[in-house]
Parts: sequence; structure tokens; C-alpha cells
Amino acid sequence: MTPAPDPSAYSAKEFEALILGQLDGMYAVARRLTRDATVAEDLVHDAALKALKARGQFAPGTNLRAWMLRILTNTFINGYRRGGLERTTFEGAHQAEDPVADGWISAASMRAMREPEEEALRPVLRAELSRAVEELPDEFRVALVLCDVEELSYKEIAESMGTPIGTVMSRIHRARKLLQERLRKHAVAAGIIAEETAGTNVVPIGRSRKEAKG
Amino acid sequence: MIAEAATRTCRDIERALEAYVDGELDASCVLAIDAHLGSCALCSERVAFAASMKRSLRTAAHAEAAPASLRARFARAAEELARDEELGAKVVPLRPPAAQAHASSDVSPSERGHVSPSERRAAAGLEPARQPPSWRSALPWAAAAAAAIAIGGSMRTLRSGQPGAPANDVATASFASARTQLLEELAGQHARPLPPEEIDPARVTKVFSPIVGVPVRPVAFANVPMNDPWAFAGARLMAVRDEAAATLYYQNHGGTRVTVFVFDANRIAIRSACCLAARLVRVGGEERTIHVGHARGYPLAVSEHDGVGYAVSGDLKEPELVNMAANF
Repeated sequence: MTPAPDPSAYSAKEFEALILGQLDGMYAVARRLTRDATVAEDLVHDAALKALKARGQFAPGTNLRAWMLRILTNTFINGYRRGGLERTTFEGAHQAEDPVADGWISAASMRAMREPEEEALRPVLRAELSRAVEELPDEFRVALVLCDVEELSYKEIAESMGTPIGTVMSRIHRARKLLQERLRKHAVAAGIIAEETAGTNVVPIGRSRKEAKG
Repeated sequence: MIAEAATRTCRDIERALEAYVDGELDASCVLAIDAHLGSCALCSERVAFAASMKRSLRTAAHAEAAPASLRARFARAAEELARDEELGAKVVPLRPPAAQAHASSDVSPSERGHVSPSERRAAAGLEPARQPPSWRSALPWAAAAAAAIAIGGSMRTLRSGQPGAPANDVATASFASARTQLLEELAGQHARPLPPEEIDPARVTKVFSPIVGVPVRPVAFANVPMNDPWAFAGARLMAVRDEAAATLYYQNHGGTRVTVFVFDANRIAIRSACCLAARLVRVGGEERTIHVGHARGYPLAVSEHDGVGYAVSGDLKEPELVNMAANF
């Protein structure tokens, strides 16, 4: 038996302070979800205010950050996302050309795209990554941003987006594949790595093509 | 044979690698993957690469903290809300059944951590009508209003939802009153203008620009009938919330007045106001989006350029104002 939370558990002032503590994280997510700083501000503002109004529905002791992000995500999905046409085009494109079917990037290329000794991409690719994220379809972007920027669990993301966990995983997977492919192309263009045979599995160094086909 | 098996394993565990990087696997799976990574250079590199992507994205996203203007704006809105809640507690609202339905769609069931017995009573319409409502029973009103605005917003999106339209076209705000007030303030300034502080256009630019934070340049309107041109009639500064905006007055021979507001678009976010509709205007082969709204019986046309916001209000019809706003 969970005792019913006291309706007056948080005064508006107290809850406002709690929300202010979450504002940076929410802004970071909003900045990735929208392409424009002004829109990101509006989104966070609306979501924060909605949270404040609905504070009676927050169960004290549960994860405030996840609750706030849920409101932010819903506010974004319900009001801020781009027009439907673009999305349809994107979804159609994915079905026609599944990025998952695309080839691997060789270990050597992947290594060349990273900063040596560090858990980060080369700066030139980091900038491209940000641009590429902006261009992801909304559903993919929301899932990926919640996963990578706010490090929510798949389960929490599924709750936020109102979709099954499998859908969340698939969206994150596809988003990453799209980003990887974009980064690979950019790295080739920037002369960081050499073009690998497109559309086929690239054979890791030290193995023959026959072996790798398995 | 061994190499073949290893390759298949690599493919089989591709998805699991992602869950591994995301920390979603249970301990036994982690151990199995660790064992594989120990002997597979390719998968190790994939994990390292995926981790570097994840980390880069996170670092880039957290590079910017929430701007001070956002904090200030939220604090102000919270204050307003507290006042409204206090007021709401003194007024007994009628509660149409539809309001409750909208309220529940505003904050989805997944957002509801808990529903109190009194809320359940309210949802079932069982609350005594004469009981003084708390802020919470006043909520459905706000929520219903927000839902109605959200619907208006999405309809507008359909109209202006060309793929090339800027993201801001998705007019959005679920909390309208603050921005409606903003429009009212601007229209009010046009309706009852205060005397100009400067009448020399060059001085206006020199004195006002540093205060407003963006270049303030009285312009000559290009696409208006030349037989009755708009003459610059002076300018003054105006406080919009805590920010400064320049107010430029124009007048033609017929006595028709137009007021142009120039402001820092990053500080005064009027463009995404829910009560504005987007209009596409073609200027010299370039398509511009002008946002239009109405307040106090005056139309307002809002345009933005390189971070400078312009709002035009005047004794004109909406299409004429839109054309004027397209000059900026």
C-alpha cells in the first residue's frame, strides 16, 4: 500500500525551485530536439510551466527528471515538431533504403574517426554529428536524444514517447545508423578515411572476403 | 570455420552491442559481450566508436546552459501562475464536462504519477458545485485552454506546413496569456502613442541601437504608393517586459499612422506566439514568412531578420501591413 501523497506536498514556490534545477538538462534536450535556440527556449518554458501547473500529479520520491522530460517530450511531440509532410518523406525513404542493410565501417576507419585515446569523435566530425542529429526524423531524434543526451533507460524513453520498448530500440538503432553513415561520408569528404566499397560489408583487416561472408 | 563463427557472432550481437553501450544489458549478457570483445577487434572498435558518438552528442548538448532569459521568463510566469491560482481559488468556475476531457489529454496518463481521490471525484463530476475550488480544481480550465490553443496551433501548421518552412512556423505555445499580453502592449502603444523622444533618424540609430541591442534603422518603405509615402515621425524607447524595444512612428499625408517596433528577437520571442498565423510573402524572388496577429482591434505583422525582430501595427488592413513588414 502506497500512502497517498499529500496534495500540498509541494508549494508552487518549492516546486518552482525544483524545476529550476532541471532547467539546464531540459534546455540541453530541447536544443537538440529543435533547430533554433528561440524555439528551444519556448519549448522548455512551456514544458516547465506545464510541470508547475501539474505538480499535484508528481508523486514525490519518484524521478523528477524523467517526469519533466516526459512532459518536455510530449510538449514537443504534440506541438513543436515539424510538419507532417517532411516526416512522411523520411519514413518512406527509410523503408525503401534501410540503412541497417548498409555496409559496416571498417575498424580502421572507425578508429580514424575518433580522437586517439579519448571517448569522443574528432572535432570536425562532432560538428557534423550535431548537424546530422538536427536532420533526423523527429521520432528518431527524440528517442536518440533522450537516450544519449539525458541517458534515460529504454523503458523510460518508451514511457515518454508512448511506444513499446522494441520501437524505441529500433528508432535509436536506425538513428545511429543514419548518423554513422553521414559521419562516414563526411570523413571521406574530409580526407580522414578512404572510401570503402559502398553497400558491401567491408572486410576487417587480416581477414579474407570469403571468410568474412560467413 | 572459427573465423566464420566469429563473424556470425559479430552480426548476431550487433544490436546487443548498442544495448551494451547504453547500459541496458543485465550482468550475464555484459559478461558474454565482454568475452567476445576481448577476442574481436572489430566489435571492440564498434563499441568504442558508438561510445564516442554517444559521448560527443552528450557533450555538445550540455555545452550550453539554459539562458538567463529563460530562467527569468519562467520565474515571471511562475509568479503569474501563483497569482492566477490565488485568484482562481476565489472564483467558482463552471465546469463543462469537455474541459475535464481536454485536461486529461494535456497531461497524459503516463505523466500522471498519481491521481488523488479528490481528482477522481472531480473527473467523475462529483465535486460539490459550491465547494470553493482549490488551484487544482481550477487546473482543468487552464488545461482546456491550453489544449484548445494546441489544436489551433496544429491547424495553423497544416496551413503553413510546407516542408521548407522554418521550424518556428509550428506555432506552439501552450501558455498563451503572456504572449497575448505582449501583442496587446504593442497594439496599445500604437493606439495611444507616447510622444517621440527622437525625431532625427540618424540619432535614433545612434542612441537607440545600443539600448535595444540590435541596429535600429528607420527605413523608407519601398513597396507603398509613392503618391502618399510614409514619413518618419519620430521614435521612442519602450519597455517590453524587462527588455527594451524601439518604437518608430510613421505617418502619411492622409493621417494614417503606422508604428514599427524593433527589438532583439532572441530576447523578445514574439514570433512563436500562439496567436500568430504565418503568411508567406514573396519579396524580390525570396520567400519570407511574416507572422500576423490581432490585438485591440489592430492587426500586427511580425518579421524577423538576422536576429532583429520587427513588429508593425497600424491603421491598415492586414495584407498591407504584411507587405510593410516584408520590407524588413
